[in-house]
Amino acid sequence: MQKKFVFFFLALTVLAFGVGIGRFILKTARNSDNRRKLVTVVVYAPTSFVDSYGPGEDLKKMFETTCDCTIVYVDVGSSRLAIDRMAFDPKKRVDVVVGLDLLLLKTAATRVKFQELNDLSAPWQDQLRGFSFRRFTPYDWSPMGFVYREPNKDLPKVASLEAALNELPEKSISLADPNSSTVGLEWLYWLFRTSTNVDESLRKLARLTYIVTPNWSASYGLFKKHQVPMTFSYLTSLLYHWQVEKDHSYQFMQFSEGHPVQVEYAAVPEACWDCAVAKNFVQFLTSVEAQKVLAQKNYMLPAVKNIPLDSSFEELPKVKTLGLEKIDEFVTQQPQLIEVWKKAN
Amino acid sequence: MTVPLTELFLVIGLSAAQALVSATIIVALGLLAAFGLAPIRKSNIKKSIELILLAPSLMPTLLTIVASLDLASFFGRFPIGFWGVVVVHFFVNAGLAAVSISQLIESRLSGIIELGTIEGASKFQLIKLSVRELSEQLRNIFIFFFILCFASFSIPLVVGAQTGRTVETLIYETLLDHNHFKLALFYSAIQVALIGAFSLFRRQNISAPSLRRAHPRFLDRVSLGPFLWALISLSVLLVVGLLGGTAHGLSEFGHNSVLLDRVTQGALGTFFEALSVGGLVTIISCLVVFLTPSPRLHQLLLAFSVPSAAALGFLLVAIFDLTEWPDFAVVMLISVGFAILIFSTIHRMRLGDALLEIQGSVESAQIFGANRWLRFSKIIWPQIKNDIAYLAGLSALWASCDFAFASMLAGRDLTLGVTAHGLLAGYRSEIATIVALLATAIGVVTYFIFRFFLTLELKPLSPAPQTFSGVSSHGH
Amino acid sequence: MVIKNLIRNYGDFQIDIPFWSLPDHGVSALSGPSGSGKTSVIRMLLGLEPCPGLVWTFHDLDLAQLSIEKKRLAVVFQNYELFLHMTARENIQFAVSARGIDKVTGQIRLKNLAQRLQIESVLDRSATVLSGGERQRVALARALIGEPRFLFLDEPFSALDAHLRSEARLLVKTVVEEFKIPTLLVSHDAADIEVLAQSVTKIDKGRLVI
Repeated sequence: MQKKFVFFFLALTVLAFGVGIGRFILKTARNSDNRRKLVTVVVYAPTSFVDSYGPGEDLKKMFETTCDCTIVYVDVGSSRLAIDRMAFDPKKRVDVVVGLDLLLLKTAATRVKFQELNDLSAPWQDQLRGFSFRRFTPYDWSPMGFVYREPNKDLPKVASLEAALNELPEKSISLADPNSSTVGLEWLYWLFRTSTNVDESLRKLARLTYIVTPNWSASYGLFKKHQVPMTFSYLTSLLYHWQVEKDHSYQFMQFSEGHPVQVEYAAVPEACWDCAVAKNFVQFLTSVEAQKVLAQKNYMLPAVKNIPLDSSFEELPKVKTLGLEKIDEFVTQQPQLIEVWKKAN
Repeated sequence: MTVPLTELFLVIGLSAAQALVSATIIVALGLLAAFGLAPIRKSNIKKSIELILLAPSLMPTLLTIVASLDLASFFGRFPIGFWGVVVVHFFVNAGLAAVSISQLIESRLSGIIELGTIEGASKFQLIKLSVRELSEQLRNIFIFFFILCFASFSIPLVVGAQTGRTVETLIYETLLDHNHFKLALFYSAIQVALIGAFSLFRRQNISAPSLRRAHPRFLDRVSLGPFLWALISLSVLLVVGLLGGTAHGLSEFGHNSVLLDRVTQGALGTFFEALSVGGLVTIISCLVVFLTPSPRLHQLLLAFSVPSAAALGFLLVAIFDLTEWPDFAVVMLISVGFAILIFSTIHRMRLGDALLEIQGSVESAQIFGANRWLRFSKIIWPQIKNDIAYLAGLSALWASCDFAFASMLAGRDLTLGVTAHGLLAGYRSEIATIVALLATAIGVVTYFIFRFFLTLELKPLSPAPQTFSGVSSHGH
Repeated sequence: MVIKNLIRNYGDFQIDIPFWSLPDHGVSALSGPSGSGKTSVIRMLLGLEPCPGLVWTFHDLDLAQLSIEKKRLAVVFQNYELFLHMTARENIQFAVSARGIDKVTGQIRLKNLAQRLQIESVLDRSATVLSGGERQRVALARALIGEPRFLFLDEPFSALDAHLRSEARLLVKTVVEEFKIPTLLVSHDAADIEVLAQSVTKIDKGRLVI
């Protein structure tokens, strides 16, 4: 009797899913067919852009109403992996790549050929003057620094990075690995840019470091799980906690030296097929509607001025930011800096 | 191409040391807990306990790591690095070791324990005797876990830091460092060679299990309940820790139509992937079994392991332009890749030993003139189908919880694993937990599908003979 | 029957039998202490272990050139190797299918053998519940039903209790003589050899003792 019941239950489950799978197969075959009829724009994007909470879906719907085209996203994980994929097979079709990080632009330009974009004269944010390039268009940004929770008796109030490196308790911070994460590159650049003795600063930071994770999300996840009192992250990380979790204990340490900025870019590789539509998509990312979606869904600041946003954006501290100086020098010295860091850590 | 040998040797040394320590702790404590599990008489209670013990090994690895961090935080800070990797390996695998060894105790120790009891041996003496009796099998189990920990990827990637690195993480780091694909392939070849070398330490000629299972009354004599309860508590705490905070995540489903849509689609994709992987593992197993006895094939499968999940994923993405592929075709490719990745583990875990155990009867059949098909259908398949069903079901379950390999290939939310991975990449780890648990539930259903349908008797059994007295007796 | 080049190196042990002449009828015995290589010799002759260069001439046929299935040999191993998922009857019938014997002939032979070996009452029992003596007789029936060219008995009585052995020896002797199948008995028990064998070859440390 029991065996009959189990058999019936399993058969029913298989039948139900069988019907579902049949529909799944038919639907995807139909979608493929539809895609073949319209102009397709293949967009390489990082995971955060295309996941269920990312801006990708909304941007796709908005853009597709303006053209006879369909956007097809390819989740490439990160900008570093996107560059690797494009460099490995330069002829493989990709129309747009989004999520290229500021500190990887030189590498991207060296390894992959990109098209020149239309002369974009969007009203950029003041802090992003000089951050727009012929082949790369910024679409969002955020200052970077140490995010922590208040109150925390163990963390002294510090007003500069130098003081932080000397006074913060040891093993109190989680960091992303500069070898595999652009967020990691950001703190490395920060030390490079602001320290008189970079090697010494790296050794001091190593003292403060509890863990180095392969990517930002693991590092931030450990911080959220209270494994560490602070982490290196975006200023705009506070927005998620304030808006979604209604938790204002999350704060940002402001330092007198200034903070590095993470800027995300879109570009059109030479391997594009529908290059004109691709360029229109990049242009579209700087429109008011797109900027609003990007800021709200990516939890980043808009690249363009005067975008109407939630009030919590206004509550974010106004921090001093570092410009583009010494970035080329940093990129050149990156491997040696990483070696010093590895030895220190 | 210059090879940084110092770094390579350092990482190999760290991998081996970590694997040695991890496997020792896993097998030692698993063995002690197994002596607590084996004597349990009520079948339903035993099966439930086995499921609880297996739960950490079935959960998605990343979520187990998060749960381990939560659990460890009760005792202080989690020991990131070498010891952190050892701790998580223990959390994930101790229950699996306990269940495997418990089955060995029941199937192989009947005579020893009964004889020892009659002779008046103490509990300690009986346990010592039992361990010696099981030494061949324990050695193979140790080597299985050693290789598992040596080739570990996601655990050392997250909690390994510098001292907990493995060759697999070195391959991953090298792949990320552009222009070093050749170096990554070289490291992969080294990894394959090392795993092959470790596999040679496995005991090849395993004695067949005894025909009579040990009576629970005698197994009570070697019972070590406290260790079992410790492991059960650990598993429960891990699962409960994982579920903490998911209530908030559940409410999110109602507010995000994109998420709901993707989860529905992903559920079907996951089910399709799990069925495909289980089916492929069944087919490959049947092929391997069909070619039995083949000592060369057996050696090859024991020694072989796919170089690296990261390298295989990268290679498949480089070869195929998956952008224009229909979704189900991409899922099929992911299934094929995943089946290739895990088959060597499956073979090492059970299939290889199962084939060795029936080798005698297969040879007999061959001597009597049976062709390959007759040997397969009448001798091998009836004796091995339970093992294949279990392994196919387990493969389907693992496939449903996979996120790392599928994410590399998918490029879009085709399975729940990919969706969960995407959510983890952002701020929403609680929702990722729910999605991952849903994937696990689908995996469990497919597990039972394979367990049930592959072992279904299609012919009615012949009626029990009326003259049979019901008393078993043996010439041994 | 002549066997040549039965040579194999196992590393720490070697089988070195360059020439061996055996009668092609009746029961011959291969006797030696434990570890002398008796089972290895059988396995090589059966084809279960490789022995390049082996020549086994039997009635103008070189059996070494044939595949295991085509050699038409039979064996009763020390542990009988019954198919435990089958009944006694199914074990024997398997040999009928394997040899390609038609069902009617197979049924007749099975009935005959079951009667001779006194296993009629256990035919429908699962192999797992048979006693040691019953298993031995079922294994012998399975071996003989295909009318093999040659029969190997590898320590066929070692698993039996002492009081059952003498009965079993006589039964095996009677059946083997009746079916006229040339047999090689491997045993270290002098009583087995005395009752069953017409000729004896001794083996020690992998070599024949002359």
